[in-house]
Amino acid sequence: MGLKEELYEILEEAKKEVKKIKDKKLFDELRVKFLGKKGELRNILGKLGALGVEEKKEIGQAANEVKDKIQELIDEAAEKIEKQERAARLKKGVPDISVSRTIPPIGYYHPLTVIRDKMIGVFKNMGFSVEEGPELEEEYYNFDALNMPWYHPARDSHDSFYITKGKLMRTHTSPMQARIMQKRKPPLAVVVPGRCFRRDAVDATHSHTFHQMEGLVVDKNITFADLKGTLLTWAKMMFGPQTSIRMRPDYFPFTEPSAELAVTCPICAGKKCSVCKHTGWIEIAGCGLVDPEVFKNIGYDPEQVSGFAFGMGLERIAMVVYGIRDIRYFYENDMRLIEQFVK
Amino acid sequence: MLVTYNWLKEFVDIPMYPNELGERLTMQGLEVASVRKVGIDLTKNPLIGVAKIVSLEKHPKADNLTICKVGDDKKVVVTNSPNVAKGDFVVYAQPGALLPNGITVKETKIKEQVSEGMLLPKEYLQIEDKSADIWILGKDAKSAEVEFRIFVEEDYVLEIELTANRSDCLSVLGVAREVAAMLGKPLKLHNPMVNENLNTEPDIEITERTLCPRYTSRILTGIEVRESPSWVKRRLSLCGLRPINNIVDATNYVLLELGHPTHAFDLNRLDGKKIIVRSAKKGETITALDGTECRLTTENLVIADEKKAVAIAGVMGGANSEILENTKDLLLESAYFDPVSIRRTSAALKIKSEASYRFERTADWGITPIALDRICEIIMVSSPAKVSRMVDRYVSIIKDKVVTIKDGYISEKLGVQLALKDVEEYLKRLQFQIMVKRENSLEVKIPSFRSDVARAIDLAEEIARIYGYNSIPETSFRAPTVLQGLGEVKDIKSKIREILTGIGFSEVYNYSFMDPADLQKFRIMNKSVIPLENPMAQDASLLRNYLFMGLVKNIEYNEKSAYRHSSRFFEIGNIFKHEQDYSESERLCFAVWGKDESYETLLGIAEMLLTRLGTGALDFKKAEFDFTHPENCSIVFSDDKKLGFLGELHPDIQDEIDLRYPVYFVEFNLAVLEDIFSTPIEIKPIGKFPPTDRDISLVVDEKILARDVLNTILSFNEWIKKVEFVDLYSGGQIGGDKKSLTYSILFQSGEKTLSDTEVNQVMDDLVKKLEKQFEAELRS
Repeated sequence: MGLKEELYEILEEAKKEVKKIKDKKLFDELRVKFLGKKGELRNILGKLGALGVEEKKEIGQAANEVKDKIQELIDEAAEKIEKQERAARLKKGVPDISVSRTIPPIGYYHPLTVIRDKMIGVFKNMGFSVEEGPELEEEYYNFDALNMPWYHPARDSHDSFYITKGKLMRTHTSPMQARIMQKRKPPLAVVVPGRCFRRDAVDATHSHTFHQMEGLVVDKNITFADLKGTLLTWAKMMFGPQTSIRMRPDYFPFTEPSAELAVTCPICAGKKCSVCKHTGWIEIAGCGLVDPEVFKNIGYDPEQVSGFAFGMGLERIAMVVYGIRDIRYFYENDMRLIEQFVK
Repeated sequence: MLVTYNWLKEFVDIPMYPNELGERLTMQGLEVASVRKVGIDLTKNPLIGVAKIVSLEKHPKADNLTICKVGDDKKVVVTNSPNVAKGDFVVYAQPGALLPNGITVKETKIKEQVSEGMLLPKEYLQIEDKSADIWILGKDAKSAEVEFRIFVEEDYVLEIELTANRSDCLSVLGVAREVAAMLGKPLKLHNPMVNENLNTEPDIEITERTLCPRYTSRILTGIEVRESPSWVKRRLSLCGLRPINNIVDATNYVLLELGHPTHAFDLNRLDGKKIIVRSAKKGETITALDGTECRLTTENLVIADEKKAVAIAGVMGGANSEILENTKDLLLESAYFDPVSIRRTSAALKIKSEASYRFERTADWGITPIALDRICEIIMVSSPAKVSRMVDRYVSIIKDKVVTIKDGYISEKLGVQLALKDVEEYLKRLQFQIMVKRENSLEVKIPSFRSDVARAIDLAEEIARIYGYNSIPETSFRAPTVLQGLGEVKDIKSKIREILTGIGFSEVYNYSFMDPADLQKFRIMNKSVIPLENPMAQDASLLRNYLFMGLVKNIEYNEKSAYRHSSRFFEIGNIFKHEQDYSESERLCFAVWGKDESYETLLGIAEMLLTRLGTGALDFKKAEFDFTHPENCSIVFSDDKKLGFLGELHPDIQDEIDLRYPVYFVEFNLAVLEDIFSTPIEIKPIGKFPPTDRDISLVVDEKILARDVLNTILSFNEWIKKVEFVDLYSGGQIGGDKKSLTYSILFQSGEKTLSDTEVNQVMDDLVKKLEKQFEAELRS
C-alpha cells in the first residue's frame, strides 16, 4: 500500500470514528489521535524523507488535504453535538419558575412618614422649603412670641408638659414661625413637620404625642385669598382633584383672621359617611393671616409685610386617608399594620 | 354654652329653622355643636294635656297601685305613683299620644284593670332627667294649664362651642347680635324699667380702682324669697342651670340673657351695710358658696363689708352673706373686674364659676347698669320690693377704642374687592359705630362688649366672617425665588429611610416619654435623664435618652403579639439629656433580630449605610455599656468624629425580656452624619494605568482589631488604593490566642504601570511595618 492509500485509509478511519462519538469531550482525543504531534498523520509525514522531490510534493499535498478534511469533520461533528447538547440543556430549566426561597427582607415606611413625605412633596412643588425645630422648646417661642402671654385663656387648651421653668415640650409646631422669622428675612415660604406634645388623656382620637406640619408664608401683599388658594391646591394634590375646601372662622392668638379648614371627605367624596360624621367634610387644619402682634414680637413691620400660616395634624390626615380608627396604632409599631404601607 | 331658639327670637327675627341657623352660625365662627328639640307641639299632639284627678281608689289586687279617674269624661288610669291626690291637676296622655321620648301611649291592662293611658312624670316630657313621681300641677285649673304650657313649650337648645376670644357671645344677647349681623336685621333691645321708690342708696367704696373699674349697685328691701316663676325656671333648666330661688335665679337669668355676672348679698348680713372692694389681707379666709375654704393672699380681690370679706370678687360669693329663706333686704352687685386678676385668683384658688369664666375672658363694662335693672325687673315679677337709687361707681373710665380703617385695607388683607361703603355697611351690621367718615378712611368705635377687637386687622376678620370665608376667592402667592432652609440641600433622613427600607428595615415611631422602670430594665444610668415636671402617668414621666429601648420593645411586641420570627427596625428621633444644660439631639437607631442576624450582619449594614452617606475610613474602639454584651460592642468613628455605638444587647437583658434571639443594634448621632453627608463629593480621576492585586495573610494576637490593621495598610502607601478584608481564621494551626487575617490589597499609580519589583518592595516594607506595629507574622 502506498503512502497515498494509507492517507486515504486514515481519512476513512477518521470518518468512522467521528460518527461513533456522542460526547464532545472525546473529540479532543480524536484530534490528538489523528492530528496530534504523535498522531497518525504525523506518522505518515515522518516517512516522507525517503521519497523523491516530486513524490514528496504530491504526498505532502495529499496529507494536507486529508488533515484539513479530518479537521473539518471533527469540527462539524463537534458543533453538531454542541448544538444537540445545548438544545437538551435548554429543555431543562429551573425546578419551578413561580417560587423563590430567598426573597430579601422587605422594609416599610411608617404611615406618618408616608403622609409627611407626600405633604412635603406637594409643598415643595409650590415653592416651600422645609425646616425642623426643637421639641423641647422655650416657653417664649411656644406661647409669648405667638401672642399668648401667660394669662391668655387660649393656653388652657394647650395643656403642656413642663420640664422646668420656661421650658416645655412644644404643644404645636408654631413656635418655628417665630424662630424662622427671627433667623431669616422675607420673602418666606416654609413648612415645618414635627412632633408635638399635649397633656391629653390618650384614647382613640387623642394622644399626648402627635405630629403637625406648620406652614408659613411671608411677603409683601399676602392675602387671605392666597391662603385659600394654597390650601385648595394642597388639598387637591393630597386627596384628589375632585376635592374642595370649606373654611369657617376660628380663633388662634397668632393669626387674624383665623380659620378652620375642612376638605370634602376623601372617603365618601362629600356624600356623607361615618368617617366625616355624616357632614361630608373633614376638618383638617387651623390657619389664618399672621397676626401683626407676632410680626411685632419678631421685629418685622406689619405695615410692610403680611403673611399666612397653617398647621395640620399628620395623624388626623393619615387616619382619614387610610381609614385608621385609633391614633394609638401609630405608636404601637405592629408590623401587621406597618407592612400594609407598601408604597 | 347653651341658648334657646325662642329666647334668641326675643332679640331678633329669625326667618329660618333652628338647624339651618345652627349651620350658618357655625360658618360665621360660632360653632354649633348640637341642636336639640325640647317640648311638644301641642297642636300636633292633642292627646296630651292637663286633666284633673276626679277620684281615686286602691287597686284591689295590688297595694302599690292606684286607680284614678281623670278629666270630665272620667278616664280610668292606673298609676303606681303615691303622690296623687283628689283634685290635683296632672298631665294625662291618652292612648295614641306620642311622647317626646318616642314612646306611643297604649291602652293596657294592669292586674286585670284596664288603664286608658298614662299620667306623666316630668321625665317623660323631658323636663328633667329622672322623675320619681308623676308631675302634679296644683289644684288650680288655670295656673296648672299655664305651668304646663310653659314647660312643654316647643323650643330648641343650641349648644355652642365658643372660641376663647368671643366672650361677647357668652349670652343670648351676644348670639342674637351675631344672628342680627348675619341677617342684616335690627336687634330688638329691651330696656328694663325700674321704679325707684326707696330713698336710699348703697354705700360702695372701691380701693382697688384698676382691678375694679366699675361697680354698679342698688338696694332692694322687703323682698320675699320663694320659687321663681315657671318661665325663669324653665329657661335656666334648659340652659343647664339649676333653679334655686327667685333672687339667685334672677341673677342667673341675667347671666344667661345678657352675659353679665352679678351677685346678690343679704344686706342685713353685711357689717355696716357697706361694700368695700379691696385686696384681701394676707391670710384672710372666706368660705365660698360651694363650701370651699379659701385662704387668700394680697393678690386676690375681694368684696368686703366693714369687718370681713363677703365674696371673692368675680369668682364666687361667700357663704356668710348669701341669700337665705328669710332674707328681706338685698344689695345687688353689677360690676366689672380686671380679667387678668380674676384669672389669677380663680387659678390660685382652683375655683371656676360661670362668673370667673366670663370675667377672665373680659366682660362688658358698659352693660353693668342694664344688667342690674334687668335683675330688679325679674325679681319684682315674683316678689314685692322697694328699690333704691342706683349707685354707679365708674372709678377708672375705660376709654373707647377707636380704629381707623383706610380705604383698600380690607381688600388688601382679604384679597376681595370691597368699597369703603361696603366696609361701612358690614361694620354697622356688627354694631360697630362709625364715628367719622372720610373720603378714604373710616373711624370706627368699638363697643364695650367687643374686647377682642382693637385693630384694623380684627375688623378685617369681622368683615370676612359676615362676607363669608367661603365667598373669598382662591389665588396663589408668588413663591420666593431664593430657596431658604437647609432641608432642600441635604435631606439625609430621606436618604437613610430609602437605604434602610431597601434592605428590609421597617420604620417605627416610639414615644419620646419613657418609664423609670425602663431605666432599670435596660440598665441605663439616670444621671442625665430629664423628668417631666407634670407627667400624666408614671410610665411616661421621663424623656428618652436613647432610642434603642423603644426598638427592643418593638421587637418584643412583634415577637409576642404579631408572631414574628425576625425583625429589622429603625427609628429616627430625638433624645434628651440634662448635662450642663438641657440638650436635645437627633439620633438614628436600627436593630436586627432573628435566626440569620449577627453582629457581623449589623456591622456590614452599618458600613454600607455609612459609605452611602459619605463617611471616610471607619475606626472602631471596643466599648462596654451596662446594656451591651461585655465583648460585642464598639464605638464607631469616622475621621475622628464619633458617630455612635454598635453592639449586642446584653444577654441578661435579652433573657429578662425573654427574646428568642439576641438583638444587635446601632445608635448614631444624626448631626454628625449630617455633617459628613453635606460635604460635597470630590471626584478623583480614574487611574488609566493597570492595577495590581496582592493578598496578604497575617497572624496577630487575638486582641488586635482587624480594622486597625486594615486602616494601617490603607494609609501605608499612596499606591494602595483599596484594602478589602477577606477572611479571619482562628484555631487549627494558629495558636490559641492568635488569629489569622487575610486582606486583598489593590495597588495602582496615577503616573505609570507599576512593576512587580516596585509592588513587591512596598509589600516587603508593609510587612515590616505590620510586624513592628502589630507583632504580626506573615503567614505563607
